[in-house]
Amino acid sequence: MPLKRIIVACGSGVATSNVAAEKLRVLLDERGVHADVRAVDIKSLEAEARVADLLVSITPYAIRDKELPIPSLNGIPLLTGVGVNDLLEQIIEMIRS
Amino acid sequence: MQAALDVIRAFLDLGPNVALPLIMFILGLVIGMKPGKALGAGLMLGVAFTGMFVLFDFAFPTLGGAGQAMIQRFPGLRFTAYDLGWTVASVISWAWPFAFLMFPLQIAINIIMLWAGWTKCLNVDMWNVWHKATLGAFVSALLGQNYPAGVALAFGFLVAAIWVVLELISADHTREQVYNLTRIPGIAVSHNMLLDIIWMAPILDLIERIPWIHNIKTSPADLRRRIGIFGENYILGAILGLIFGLLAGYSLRDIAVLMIKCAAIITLFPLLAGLFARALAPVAEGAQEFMQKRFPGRSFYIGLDWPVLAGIDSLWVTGILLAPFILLFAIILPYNQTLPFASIIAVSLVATVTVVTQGDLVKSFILGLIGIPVYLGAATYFAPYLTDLAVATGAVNVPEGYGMITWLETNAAGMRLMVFSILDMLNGNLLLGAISIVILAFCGWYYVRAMKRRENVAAAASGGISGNPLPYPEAGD
Repeated sequence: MPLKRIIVACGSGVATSNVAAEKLRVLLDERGVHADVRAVDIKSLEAEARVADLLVSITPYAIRDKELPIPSLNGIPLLTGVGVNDLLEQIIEMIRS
Repeated sequence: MQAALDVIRAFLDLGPNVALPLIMFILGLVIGMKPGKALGAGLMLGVAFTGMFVLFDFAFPTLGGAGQAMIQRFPGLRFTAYDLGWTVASVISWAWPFAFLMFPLQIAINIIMLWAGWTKCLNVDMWNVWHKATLGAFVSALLGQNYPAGVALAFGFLVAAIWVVLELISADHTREQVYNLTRIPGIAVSHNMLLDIIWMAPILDLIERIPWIHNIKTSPADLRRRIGIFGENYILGAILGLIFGLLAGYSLRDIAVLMIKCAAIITLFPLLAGLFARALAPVAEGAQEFMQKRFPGRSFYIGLDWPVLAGIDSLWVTGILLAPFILLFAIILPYNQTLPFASIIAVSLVATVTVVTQGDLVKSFILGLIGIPVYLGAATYFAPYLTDLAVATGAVNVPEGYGMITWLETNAAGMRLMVFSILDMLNGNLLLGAISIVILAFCGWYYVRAMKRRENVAAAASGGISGNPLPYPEAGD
C-alpha cells in the first residue's frame, strides 16, 4: 500500500500548519501509523489537494474545503488539544480504508 | 559574574546559526525531549537559519539593485527599505539573545491573568512569541541611545509584558466576532495584529454611517475563485518583478530574470521559515502542555494564531484588492521609504479588518485602505531597528550600499507606532508622544464600548459562543 499523504494547511504554510503537522506526525508515530504529513500554504490548496489523500483543516467552516477532491477532517483539536484522540481515530480509520 | 558574561559573549560570538541550535538542544532537554530528538530539532533550526541566510544573500542585492535603479530613474522615489516579509523578521528576532525568555514571560503573565480572572483566554500560540522579541529588542535599542543597557532592556521586557496583557484582553474582546466568522467553539484569536482594532473601532463606526455602504452586494466566494490565483506566491512575485523591472528601466531580458528571481524569493522564504517552525514545534508543544496542565477543567478560550481565519473568502479578496494600492501609496506617500514586496498581501492588516467588519468586503476594503499608510509608516519607522538587530546579531549579512531590511506586516502597526512615540518621550522627543497619549486614551475608552456592542451583535447572529446571545447586557446602543 503506498504511503498516504495528509496535508495540513494554514495561511502561509509556515507556522500553524507546521506546528499542527509535527504534532500529527508524533501522534501517528506513537501509534505506529505511517503517513506522509505535510504542511502546505492554504493559497495553493487546490494544487496540493491533487496529490494528497486527506486534508486536516484548521478552517473547518470553509466552503472551499468541501469543494476539494479529497475528504477533509476538522483539525482544530491539533491546535487546542481538546478532542485529539477522536480526531486521531478518524484519521487512522481514513488512512486504513 | 565576569566569567559568566564571558561565557555568554563567547557563545554569541559563535553566530546565530550555531548558537541557536545549541540553545534549542539545551531547551529541548529541559522540556524533556529525548537527546536524539532534541539534537534533531537543534540541527533543523541550524539548517533553517543557514537556508534563510543563503536566500537572503540572494534576495537582498536583487531587490536592492532594482530599488536603487528605480531611485536613480525617478528621484522622487525614496525606496531604501526592502520588505522581505514577516518570515525574515521572525528569524532575525530569534537571533536576539533574550528572545527565548519571551516564552516564560508570556506563560507567566497568562497564568497570573487567568488565575486572577482578568482574562478568559489561554494563549497556546507559542509561535508568535517572536513578536514580543521584536518589541523587546527594538525598545532596548530606542532607549539604549540615552540610558544604560540594563535600563533599556528592562523597558524592553516591560513593553513585551504589556503586549502580552493587551493580546489577552484583545482576544477576550473579539472572541464572539471570531466565533461568528468561524463557528469554531472554544477559541479566540490572541494574535497581536488585532490590537490595531483599538484605533480602527471609531473609524469603522464612521464608515458605517455612510448611507450607501450597506447597499452594496458582493460575493466574496465567487471573487476569490476568479482572482484567487493572484494570491499565490509565485504569481505575485512574478508580477512584482515585472513592475519593479519596468520602474527600474531594465532591459526586456533583465525584466524576465527579475520576474523569475522575485517569484523564487517570495516562494522560498516561507518554505525555509517552515523548517524553522518545524524545529520549534516541540518547544511550542511543551509550553502548551505545561499551560493546559495548570488549568484543567476551568472554562477558558484557547487563544490561537490568525490562520483559523484563513478560510474566509473576503479576507483573501480584500488582500488581493488592496495589493495595488499598497504599491501606489508606497510611491506617493512622502514619508514612505519601504518598497513593498513579500508582504504585498498584507495579512496582518487584512485579517484584522476582516474580524472587525465581520467579513464585509466593502467595509474591509475601505478600512484596509485607511490602514495602508499606517502600515507603510511602521515599516519605514522600524526598518533601521530590524536592520541594526540583524547586523548586531549577525542573523543575516546586510551588504553596504543597498539600504535596509524591513517587513510591511509589522502587526498592530498603529499601536506599535504610538507605543514607540510615547517611549521616545524618555529621549526628550515630546510632541508625537503627547499626541499618541491623547489618541490612545480616547481610542482605548472607545474600544471597550465599541467591542461590547459589536460582540453583542456578533453573538446575536451566531447564537453566542457559549449559547448566550447577549454577552454584554450592560452595553448600550
